[in-house]
Amino acid sequence: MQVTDNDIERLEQIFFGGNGSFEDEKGERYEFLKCFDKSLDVQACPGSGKTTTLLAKLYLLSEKMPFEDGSGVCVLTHTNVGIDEIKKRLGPKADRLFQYPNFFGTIQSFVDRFLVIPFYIQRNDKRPNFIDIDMARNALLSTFVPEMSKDHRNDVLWFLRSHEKIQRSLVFRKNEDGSFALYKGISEKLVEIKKPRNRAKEYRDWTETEKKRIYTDLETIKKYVLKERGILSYDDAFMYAQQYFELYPQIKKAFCKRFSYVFIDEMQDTYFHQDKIIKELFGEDVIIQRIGDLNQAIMNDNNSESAWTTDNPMKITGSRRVSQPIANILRTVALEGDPELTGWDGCEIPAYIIPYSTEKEPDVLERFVELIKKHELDNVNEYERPIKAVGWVGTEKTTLTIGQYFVGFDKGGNKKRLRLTNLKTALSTIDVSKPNEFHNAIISVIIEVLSLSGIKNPLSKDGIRSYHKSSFVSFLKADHSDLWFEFNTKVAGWVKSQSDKNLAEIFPEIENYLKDSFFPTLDFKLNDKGVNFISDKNIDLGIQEKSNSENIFQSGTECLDHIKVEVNNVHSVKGETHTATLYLETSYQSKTCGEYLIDQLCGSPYAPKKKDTYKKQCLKIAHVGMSRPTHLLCVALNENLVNDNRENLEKNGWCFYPPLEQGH
Amino acid sequence: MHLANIKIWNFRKIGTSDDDSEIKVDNPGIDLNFNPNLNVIIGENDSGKTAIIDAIRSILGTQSREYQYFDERDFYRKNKEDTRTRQLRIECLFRGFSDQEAGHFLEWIHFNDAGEYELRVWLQAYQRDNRVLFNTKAGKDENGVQLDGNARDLLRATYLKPLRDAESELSPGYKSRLAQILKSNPIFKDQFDKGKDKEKHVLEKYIKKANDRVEGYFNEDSLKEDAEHDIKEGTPGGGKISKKVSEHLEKFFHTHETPDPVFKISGDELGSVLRSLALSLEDNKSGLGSLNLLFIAAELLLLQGENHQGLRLALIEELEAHLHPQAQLRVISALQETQKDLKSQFILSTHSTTLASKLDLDNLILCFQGQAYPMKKGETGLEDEDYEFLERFLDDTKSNLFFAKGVLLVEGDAENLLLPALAEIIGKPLHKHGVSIVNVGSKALLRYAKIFKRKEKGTLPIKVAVVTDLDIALYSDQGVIKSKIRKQGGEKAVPSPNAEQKKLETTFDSDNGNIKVFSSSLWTMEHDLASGDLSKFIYKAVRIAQLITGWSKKGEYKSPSSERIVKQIENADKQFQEWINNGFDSRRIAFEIYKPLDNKSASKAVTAQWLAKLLMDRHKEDMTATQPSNHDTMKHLLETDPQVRYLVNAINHVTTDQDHKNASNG
Repeated sequence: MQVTDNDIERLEQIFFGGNGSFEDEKGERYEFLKCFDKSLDVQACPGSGKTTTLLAKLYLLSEKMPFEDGSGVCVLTHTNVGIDEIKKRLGPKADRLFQYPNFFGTIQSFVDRFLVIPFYIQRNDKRPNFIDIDMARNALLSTFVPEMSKDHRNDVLWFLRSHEKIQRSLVFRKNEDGSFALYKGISEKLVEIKKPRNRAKEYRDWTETEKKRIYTDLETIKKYVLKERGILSYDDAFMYAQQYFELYPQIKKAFCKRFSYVFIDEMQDTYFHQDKIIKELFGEDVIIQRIGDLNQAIMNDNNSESAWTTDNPMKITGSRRVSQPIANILRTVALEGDPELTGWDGCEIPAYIIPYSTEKEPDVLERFVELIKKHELDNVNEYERPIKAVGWVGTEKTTLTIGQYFVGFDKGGNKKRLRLTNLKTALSTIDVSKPNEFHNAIISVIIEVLSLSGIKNPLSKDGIRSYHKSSFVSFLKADHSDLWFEFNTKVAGWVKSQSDKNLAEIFPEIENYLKDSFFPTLDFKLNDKGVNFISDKNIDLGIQEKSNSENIFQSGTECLDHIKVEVNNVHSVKGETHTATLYLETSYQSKTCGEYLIDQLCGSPYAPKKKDTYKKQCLKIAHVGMSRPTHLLCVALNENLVNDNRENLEKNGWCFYPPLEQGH
Repeated sequence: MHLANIKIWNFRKIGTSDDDSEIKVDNPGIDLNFNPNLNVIIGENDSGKTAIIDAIRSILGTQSREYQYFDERDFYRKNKEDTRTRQLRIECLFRGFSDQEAGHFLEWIHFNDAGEYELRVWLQAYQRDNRVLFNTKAGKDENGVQLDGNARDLLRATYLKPLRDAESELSPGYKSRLAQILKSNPIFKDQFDKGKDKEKHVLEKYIKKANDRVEGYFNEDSLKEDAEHDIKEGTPGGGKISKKVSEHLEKFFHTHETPDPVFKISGDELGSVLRSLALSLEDNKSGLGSLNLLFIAAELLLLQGENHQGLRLALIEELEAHLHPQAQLRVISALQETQKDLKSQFILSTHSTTLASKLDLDNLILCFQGQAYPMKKGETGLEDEDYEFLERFLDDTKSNLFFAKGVLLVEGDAENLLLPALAEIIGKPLHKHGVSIVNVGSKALLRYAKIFKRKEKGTLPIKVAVVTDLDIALYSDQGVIKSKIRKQGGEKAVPSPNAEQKKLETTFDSDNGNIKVFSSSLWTMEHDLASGDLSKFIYKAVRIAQLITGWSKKGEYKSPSSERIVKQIENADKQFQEWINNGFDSRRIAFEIYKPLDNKSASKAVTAQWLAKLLMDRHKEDMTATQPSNHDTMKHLLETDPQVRYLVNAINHVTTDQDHKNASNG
């Protein structure tokens, strides 16, 4: 595909409305923009506008759609946020980019849609109900397998409860001889049953026979969760995906015909098992272009490493986000520093270090706000981007954490997930103000009640299968359309009234409706378990913590209290752009960030060493955290460290606030 | 990728296989396999072939994108008095995917046990408050998911309506089919120049020029000389007409905003140029038949387009509608010969039963009473190895075989000649009952009867009588007639007629009673008839046949004079009387009569021919007799003689209306 200057001009009009271009000094963006004929990697610096550039490429492709051979484009990202952003920015212009035959979504959803679900159907003649790590974990702990005695089940649960990791990643994997066994995770070892130690004085492990039985029961439960309840964890999903093309290798050819281009954004966030699947699926005929920043490869679990390795990538070295003073700092505070990194010109605000003395950490935020005021970055109309303070380690007790700087920091804040312990829990774990979510939750509850009560779908094969969402909804629509209508009306009513009253008030209404009207109309007789699921008043909060605080810092000083600083951990601000960012050093594995990074803060590039895992991680985290701001970067460092390295820090362009005394 | 199978529940004439009318996985009213190339559905009017084509059309949609909808009449009802079913379902299975095609359907495709790609797509429609709702889904599981609209488009079939309107399809107009066909050709795709502006297509340039001229013509009252177009100075132009139009317009509009009327051949954008094209054969007024052929050719243009993505399926309904029989045969033969090269699948329907004779059994699907019966290998009870021979044997008789109400399958000329006479005499003339008689020429070939059986169970809804001999041969041992010993399963023994009879029944009889074997009581037809009440008749026939056979052995081919015949009959009477006087029993007499047939001094065919004549003559006498005695008539004789009984039963079997329900369900 040829890209002409005219094309580029048109793109710039669309993407910048005449107020900008993809031009840069080295022509790096143009080079990437024009290249369609080969696979390549792009190492892009923070704020490089790589996603915009990628979008521009995609837009060019979308003009050629549909392709003559009927193939499509596969765009893989890591977060849904990224996708929404892209859709919003392109608007209806590029609608067909998001439609069949293209795929646009996270790697997980790609794998689910094209491999996991097809393979699951191939195996079980039905669709999985959920692919979700938390659902899978809850299901493992809460499922009753018919004909398994309570005692036996309790042994299994006892074992599971003492192995948090196994709860989340227990998976059936192929042994070398082709048989399947339970493993602790995709790349973990075989599950070994061992009696958990407890406080009892004498510890005696289970006998071999008992272990064997518990193992078999664990297998039975896991199988039941997978096949009968149709709930898969992400690890299960990837194992299924793997098996799909092991069993049907010919499908790979079909994938190569379906997708002639594959683009992966934020490639550095790709896990090994994800990378393996992508590599296996797309052969040499497919053009794969991977864009990311190795320096920002901070995985969501600190233990994993990025699967991205690349030789000789194309580069985008000019940041359009950070100012030149910030870029100077980032040249060395990076895993693979780049002396060519540049920022935008015209901002003279230097990078600051805010030294603090031990136990005076809470003052740091106040200083930060003062700096913002000083540099007049507090005008919300002029600077729309947020102001944030970020750190690595959240709220552990003993060492230096975000919590020391901002008392009451709550790292929870995770988005809510449906917990199917009982009706009340289910409703309290979702965003009830969203009609769709509410509706879905109630249907999930109904399916669960039917399953608990042993009510099967008579229309299913041999009439022995449970209902699931879609079969139940079609059953309602087809045979009880009045009830379906009534049900929907009710749900709409509840959604509306819960905004006036609280959930506790409408809960009895829902409970009564289901018990006394809904199920009786269908002539479904619930058993105790089913009824109890609806009526149980206990809310099971599980591992979820309350998340009411918003983590916003505001100064107590009158002229500063209009400045809002959101305190967050680094992982949650990946990809964001701030007006000002305060990087809070925290300690990790007995050293603070400052201690790990001091040489790089002073301007010497990092020379990789073996067994330097912590430092490498710290470098990546710091790089992500410090590359957010457009104007002001501040780093909180312990004053002792600052004093010891004052000269070198100054040489590297840092200013100190409050200013240090002359000499020391 | 091709349509491999369709299942239909409760659609029009097609109900459910168990008469339950509730849709279940295992009770489709039709479960029909297609081959990847040519399929011709042949059935008489109202046999359900249109329902099959329409079912495919409704679920897949068509390239010309007619709007698909259902109304309550699409729902099956058993009888006029019954209420209609509330739900109908159509399910298609696709196979034979290329990697690219599989790529298009990755989200919905699955693998069969053989590891081949399969795609299942189904449509379910139901009646609700006088509306019909329907949805289309795909997937291997019961629930499936919606098929994306763009992916569905890849499954559209090319549909050729009952060809009544080829002329309008090929004529210009807003909905021109021709334009659609042409547009899909790469040479009409948008071309851009370097600056991303659309380039004008050659046709656009042509039309622009022509439009300019036409416009000019309507601007001038009188034209200037133009040598290039052979126009003389002063030739009147259309200026007056457009002025007149303008005058009228001015009255309708406010004067200052009156638009100028322009005369044009067509809009000068490619789309409207294509829409204004007509395709015709060069001689002016073409007959509908040739227009239809032209139209089919145009459609094939689309289907064969290299760039055509997705299903290459052509549905052609009622091929015969305006093609005369010779043209139909040519189209069918052409398709049959080139089917493999065409890379497309064809499903045609016709009620022209004569087409059947031109078709290979592999391409033939018979349609009766809302049931479809593919005749290809693997679908019938006939062994694959027998197919080739049967095909050659049947050739032009296929339509006799499959569109008869009943079929008499006989092993030799004798039966072939005699049975029509017998049927006539007992008042069931074969032609009136739509019965075909097929002579396979050898007992071994009677196994072709299995073509009427279905692989799983059941038969075609046609009554078939297999008429054969029991073949327990006799010999004379010092004047005593005995059965010859026959080798059976390693042991030599005298065969038992009962056991032999049973054996034949297990070979031929179908569970539903449609196919039945009828065998003579002991040896051959002639012998066994000779041992019954017809012995004297058959002896006379044998004597005449002896005479004729003798002549023909000497190379004289002539028919005997009536005097000679009378003489032979007299001789026969005499000889017969002598046997009686000698105290021969019927067994011995039969043996004696059969001798010349056994030693080939009398032809069986000639004997049968004369026997038929003698019986008919006698029957005619009966009919004209003033006082017919019921007990003495030929009809009575045939109906009571135990030796003739198997033939009479065979005739009765194929002339009695078959029970529809049994036919379809075995």
